[in-house]
Amino acid sequence: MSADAPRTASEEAGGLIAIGPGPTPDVIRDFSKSRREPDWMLRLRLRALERLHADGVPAWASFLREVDFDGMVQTEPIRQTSIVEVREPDVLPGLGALEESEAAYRAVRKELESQDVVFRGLAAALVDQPDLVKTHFAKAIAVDDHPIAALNAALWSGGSFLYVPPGVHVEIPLQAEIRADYAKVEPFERNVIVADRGADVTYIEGCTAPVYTPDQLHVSAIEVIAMPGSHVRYIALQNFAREVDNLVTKRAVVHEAAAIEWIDANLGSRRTWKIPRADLLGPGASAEFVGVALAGKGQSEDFGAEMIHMAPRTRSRIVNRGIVRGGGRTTLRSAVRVAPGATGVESRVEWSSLMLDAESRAETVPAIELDEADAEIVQDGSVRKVSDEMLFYMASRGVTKEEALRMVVLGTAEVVTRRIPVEYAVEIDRLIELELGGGLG
Amino acid sequence: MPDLRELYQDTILDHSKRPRNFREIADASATAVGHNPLCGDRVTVYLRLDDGTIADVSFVGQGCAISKASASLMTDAVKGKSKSEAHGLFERFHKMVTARPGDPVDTSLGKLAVLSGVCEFPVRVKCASLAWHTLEAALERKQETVSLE
Repeated sequence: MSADAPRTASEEAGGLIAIGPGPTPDVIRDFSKSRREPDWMLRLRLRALERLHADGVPAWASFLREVDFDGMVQTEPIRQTSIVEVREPDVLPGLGALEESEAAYRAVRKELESQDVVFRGLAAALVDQPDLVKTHFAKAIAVDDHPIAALNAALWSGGSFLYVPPGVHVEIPLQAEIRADYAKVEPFERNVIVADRGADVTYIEGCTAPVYTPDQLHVSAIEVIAMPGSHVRYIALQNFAREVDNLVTKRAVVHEAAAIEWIDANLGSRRTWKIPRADLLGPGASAEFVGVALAGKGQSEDFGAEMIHMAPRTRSRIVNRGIVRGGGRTTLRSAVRVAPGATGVESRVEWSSLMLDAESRAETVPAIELDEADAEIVQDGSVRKVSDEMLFYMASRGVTKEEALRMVVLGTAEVVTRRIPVEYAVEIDRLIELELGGGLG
Repeated sequence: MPDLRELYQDTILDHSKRPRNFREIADASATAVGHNPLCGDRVTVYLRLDDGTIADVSFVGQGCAISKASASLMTDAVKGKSKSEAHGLFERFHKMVTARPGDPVDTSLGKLAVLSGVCEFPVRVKCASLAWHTLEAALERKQETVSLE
C-alpha cells in the first residue's frame, strides 16, 4: 500500500541524508529484552532501524543527527507511576482535586471493562495480549514506511493501545491519562487504535497545559484501524514547550462505510511536522481532516493531510488553517489521490493562511493526483493578510486593534474549536489569546 | 443544543479572562494554596469570615481556562454564604462534575452549571475542582486559627 502512495513533499525537498550514529542495534536489543517483548517486535524494531540507517532522514530533519538516541532509550522495565507522595499542606487540595479525576478514571475503566474494550499502555498490552497487538501493530504505518516512521518504530517506548469490539459505542472521549498504567508523555509515543465493525470512539490526545519533555524531541506514530461501519474521531491538541521538535506520523486505514475524523490544533513546539493521512480502502469510506496551526516567533509548522481514495464512492474533506505571526512559518499541505478503480469519489479541500505581519511566512502545497476521471474534487484556498488599513477601518468602528486581531484569529481557529468539546475549546481560545497578548504592536 | 454550548463557552471564557474577585485580601482570616503539579495550575484562596459567614472571598493564581473560570465562579457563588452553605455547595459541585454524562444538573447550582460538561472529561475534573478543594482547606484552616485567637 505504501508503495502506491505519493511521496510527501517533505521527502521530495532536499532528498535524504545520513542520520549519523543514530540509535544502535545493541541498545534496541537490550531495550526490547528489558521489556520482555516477543521476538517479532524486536525484529520489527531492527528492520525499522536498518531502514533508518540505510536511507537516512529527510534533509529538513537534519537536526536529528545531533540527537543522542541511545541516551534517550531507558532500558528499565515498565513501572506504574506513583502519584506524588509529598504531604505538604499546599499539595493537599491538589491531591483532593486529582483524586476526583482518578475516581472518574476508575469509573470509566470499569465501564470499558464491562464493554470488553481494551484500553491500556501499548507496552503492557504487548506483554499480556501479544496476539491482539500483533494483529494490528504497524498495519496502518509499516515500520519502514518512511524514515520518521522508522525512527518511531525502532524506538517506540509507550503510548495507548485501544481496541473497541464490534458494535460498541464508547460514550466518554478517551485520553491516555485514563489508563491505569499511564505515566507520562513518551518521547517515542505510539498509539494504536482499533475500532471493530460498527464501533464508535473518540480519542483526545494532549492537553493544553504546556508539555515539557526533557529530551526536547517527540517522534510519535498514531495508527488508526477503522473496520467496516466504524467511526473514529481523533482529536489532537498540541501545546509542547517551544524547545520541543514534534514529528508525527498519523495514518488511518478506513474500511467499507467507516469514517475517520482527524481534528488537530497545533500551538506549541519549535518544529512541527504532521501530515495525517487516511487510506480509504473500502467502498463508501470517508475521512475528514480539520486543522489549525499557529506559528509565532521561532516556530515552524509543516501541517496538513493526505487522502488516498482506493475504493469507489469514498469521500474526503480537508479543512486547514494556518496563522503566522512574529516571523513564524507554516506550510499547509493537502494531497488527494484517487487510485484506479476508485470511481464516484468526492473530495473537498479548503485551506487558508492568515498572516499577521510581513516577516512571517505562509506556504501552501496542494496536490491532486487522479486515476479516475469521474472524481469530483473541489479545491479552495486563500492567503489573507491583516493590514493596517483593515485595523484602521475597524478602529473607526470603535473596535480596538487588539480586539480586531483577536476576533480575526479566533474566527480563523473556529473551524477547529467548534468541532471539539467546549471544555477544550476554551483552552485553545485562551492559548491563542495569550499568544496574541504578548507582543502585538 | 448549540445555543447552550455557546452560552457555556462564553461564560467560561469570560470568567477565565476577567476573573471575579481576583485579588488578595489583606486582612484574610484564612488562606490556602492549591497546586496541581501535573498541569501547573496553582490557586490561592483568601477568606474573610465574619461570624461564620463568608464576608469576602477572593483568589489569585494561574492555570488553564477551566481552573481559573471555576475559581472565579466559585468566589461569586460562596460570597455571603455561611460556612455550612459553602460546604453544601462544594458537595453539590463535586456531585455535578463527577456525575454520569446525561444526568440532570442540580438547578440550585445556578451559574456553576456551565462546568457541568466537565463530567464527560475525567481529565478536566481536577481542573474544575482545584479551587473548591482549596476553599475547603481554607475553611478548615480557619477553625484551627480560631482556637488560637
